[in-house]
Amino acid sequence: MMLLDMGCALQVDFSPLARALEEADPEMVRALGRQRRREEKERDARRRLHQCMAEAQRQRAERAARRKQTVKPDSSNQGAATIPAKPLRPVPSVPMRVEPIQVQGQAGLTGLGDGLLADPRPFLLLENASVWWVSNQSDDLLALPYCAIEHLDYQLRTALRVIGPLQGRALLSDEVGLGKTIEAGLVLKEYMMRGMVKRFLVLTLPSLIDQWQEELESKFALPTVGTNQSAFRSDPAEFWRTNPCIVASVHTLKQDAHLSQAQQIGWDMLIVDEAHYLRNRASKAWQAVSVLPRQFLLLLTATPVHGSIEEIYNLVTLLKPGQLPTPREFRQRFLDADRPTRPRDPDQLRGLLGQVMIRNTRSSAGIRLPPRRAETVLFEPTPAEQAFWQTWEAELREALKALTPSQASLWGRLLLQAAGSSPQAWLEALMSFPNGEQAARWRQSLPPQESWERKLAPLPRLAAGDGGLVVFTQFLRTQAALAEALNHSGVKTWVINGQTPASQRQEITDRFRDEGGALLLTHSGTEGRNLQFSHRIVNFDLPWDPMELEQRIGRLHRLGQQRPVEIYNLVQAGSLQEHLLEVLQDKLNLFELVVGETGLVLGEKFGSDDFAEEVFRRWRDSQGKVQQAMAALGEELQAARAEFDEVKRLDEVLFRNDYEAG
Amino acid sequence: MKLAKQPPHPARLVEFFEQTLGELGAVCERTWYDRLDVVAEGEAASLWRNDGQLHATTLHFPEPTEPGARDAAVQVFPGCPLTFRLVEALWRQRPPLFRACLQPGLETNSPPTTAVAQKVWQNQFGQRARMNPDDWRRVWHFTLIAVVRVAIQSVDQHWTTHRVAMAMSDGQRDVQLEQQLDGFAFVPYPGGPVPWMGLESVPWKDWLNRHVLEDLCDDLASIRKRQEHYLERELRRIDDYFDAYHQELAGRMGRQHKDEARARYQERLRATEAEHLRRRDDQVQRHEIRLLPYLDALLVTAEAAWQTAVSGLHGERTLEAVYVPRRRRWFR
Repeated sequence: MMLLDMGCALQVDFSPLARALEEADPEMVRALGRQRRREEKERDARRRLHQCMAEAQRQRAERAARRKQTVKPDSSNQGAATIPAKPLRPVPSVPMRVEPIQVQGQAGLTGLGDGLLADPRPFLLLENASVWWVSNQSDDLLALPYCAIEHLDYQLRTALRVIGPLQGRALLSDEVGLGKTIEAGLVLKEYMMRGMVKRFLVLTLPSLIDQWQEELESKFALPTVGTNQSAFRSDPAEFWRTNPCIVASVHTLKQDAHLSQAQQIGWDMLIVDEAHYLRNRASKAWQAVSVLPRQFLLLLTATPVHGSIEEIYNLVTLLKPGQLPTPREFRQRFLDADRPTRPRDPDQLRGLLGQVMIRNTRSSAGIRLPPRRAETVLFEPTPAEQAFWQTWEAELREALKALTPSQASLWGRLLLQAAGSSPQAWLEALMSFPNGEQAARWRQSLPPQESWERKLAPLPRLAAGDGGLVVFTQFLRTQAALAEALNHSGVKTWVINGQTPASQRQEITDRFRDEGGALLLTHSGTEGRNLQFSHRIVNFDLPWDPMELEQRIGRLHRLGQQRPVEIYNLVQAGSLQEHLLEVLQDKLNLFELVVGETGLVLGEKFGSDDFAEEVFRRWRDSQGKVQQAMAALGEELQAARAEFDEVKRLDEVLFRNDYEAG
Repeated sequence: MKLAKQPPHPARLVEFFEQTLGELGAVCERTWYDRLDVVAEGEAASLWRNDGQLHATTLHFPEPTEPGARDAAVQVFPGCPLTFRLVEALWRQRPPLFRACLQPGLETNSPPTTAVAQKVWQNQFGQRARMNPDDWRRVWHFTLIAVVRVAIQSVDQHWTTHRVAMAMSDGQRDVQLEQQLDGFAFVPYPGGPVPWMGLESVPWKDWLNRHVLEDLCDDLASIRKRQEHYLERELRRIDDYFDAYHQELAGRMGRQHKDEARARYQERLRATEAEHLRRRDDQVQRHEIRLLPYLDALLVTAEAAWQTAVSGLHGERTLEAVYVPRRRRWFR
């Protein structure tokens, strides 16, 4: 038996593998060792997670049993059980005390101000002074009139609590979809208005940079620059030095060159989105954030703990070093190795965490959304159409081989998605295909598209319903063709896309609300539209980005929605879109997830662009067996979903409703 | 009447600073729309220096959305210390009690006709009354107008400001005076001396508390709801803990065979129950809502009214009552 380097316990018998290792390159041996340790760690984490879940399940069962016992004490029990569990005690009403009135000013009520007043001004001046004194208090958010957000009580209370008792350093762990971004933006804006923040840095995932910038600009009038812009690439040093308001990728920050630049700046406020990536203190992300100089710090995550409560230690230490004891002491005081979901001294831990953590839940915020119903509407192509598209896909696969990988990906994704949208969009996309000759041949051989009529057929009926119909598409050409067809059928049609002037968009939305019909939207027309007055969505084509689908649904399935939301997905039978939809619906359960959860399920594995790229890669390598290729993707998504569900349950068990803002 | 908070508009703040500093004796000049040059001494200078020595400065009132750090010594912005100091300087300098006579309207020149007076009486008290048309005497009717700040302390703290007007005769609210005070004209020198009512002669503080609580009804309802939610959560936690402990002790007691040991456990169970109750009471006390009212200004107004003797239609009990023409109302 031999023991390999670095003090690790990689033990190998005298076996062919051991002999091979002896002869191998030491670098390779170390790599193998690292890989094995990584695997062991992963196994260990999985084991702990399962333990946590088993423990959580046991606790739930215990609680249920206790409740049962409370309601129906078993009179047959002897000894210990002869004393029945006590029924729930009533909650007394909250007492209220009014203190005696205190008189302001030194003279009290003995002296007269100005004798007899000739006009009320001196009195009104004192009154006005009192109003200003109260208005100057920080018990209200002064920034609120300057923010374009809905005034949700729990969000306002969260912001007030962060600014007040938590002194600008907080772990915001609201359940998914409750608007942690809004809460962070509100805190940021308030601090800026009070002159306490001048420079701020938002760290997020690369795929969310644009979304953060858009939200800060549109909701809080805070223009920012992002690390995905060309200015950053051309001169990073200048970018870090001169811009006071930056939205950056946490992956970019981790790089030494950027970290050294960012480290030289005194940040007044640092916001870290998806902060669960900082739960490991040994990670580069944690270390990068920990060395940034900052006055205020907000960590945003819906799932602060993935495996063990020890992870919360690392997050809290970033926020308030010393708030929790040393790691060793923390483990000794709070961690029970046999019961990882139940801290040893829950009251004390709650007291300590309560000084840094806010977690609003749907139940505490009183948010109940109606259900959603998703329906797949398949339309059958004619045999001629089916044959054409099959041949075309095979030819496209070949044609893409002649292009560079990035070009192939770009054109492949565009043409396949256009084909799933409408013949018009497909024809237009082909116009600039690099191989013009082949594109022309494809265009000419396109058979009459009878299925287009079938795809349009359900829309007039849906649009006639109460609240109208919102139709999403990715392509302007499809939108135009749809508008034409619906107008022709006598459906009142409203169109918003990136070309619609911003000043007209609200007016069009209002008219759609008042007059009904069909509202046709593209991605850029979707931004900032709140359409909760309508409850029927048609996904006329299927974006390859699940987050995009989620955003579409989120326009309607939001606060204020009164009716169950009906989602109709129109796809051609047997197409790539159908297989992809199956995966998203059955494996990811996309249409049942709460808005915001999709990103967490996809996690680091798939950013929005990565997912589309993955779909394309699998289509390309499938050699025509698209269904199987998509099924494999589905398995991965299902596993990711199950893992997310477990983490969510664990956080629910650990934190319950103990950290809400009010 | 609950007074709305002032939004932090620089233009309004400049106006307030200019007016208040002027009242405190400072010389102010607006040099730009958001700049105020100030030369102050004494109480006015106390915003910047404790010794009250002459102080000259330029105040800047930036837009709330203007980025950049603020300078608390010369900039006025939401939550800034200068605004607090200015108001507190004014409170120190001005005694809070004022008196004023309301300009009499035409309707006060002569007593009401008997028909009108009787109709108002019947509307107000639901019974008919008799009054002697030749027995009207001129009197003064007094009203208290108070400016009150209230701190509501619960899990967090809220501040509100109120203007409350109430008749000194019975503490009833005078909504007209409360809402339209700015529009009333005052008489600096009334025809004769006014026999001002002493504040100590009426329970005005109790009335004031009652009216302020009326104003705060909605706010208190939502605060109470939240507070009860917190209390319930804490009590459930305490109950769960003690119930589990109680069960455990009871279990152990059940396994004891000696009476002595069982008695010991009985004792512990009793102590546990006492501690449980104590913790519950403690939580209830911790969740108490406290209201702390501060009286910032008090204006006593006098206005002309008419007094007469009123009796029932069949000569029942006679009482002296005052008719206030502005309010078209009787005060008994």
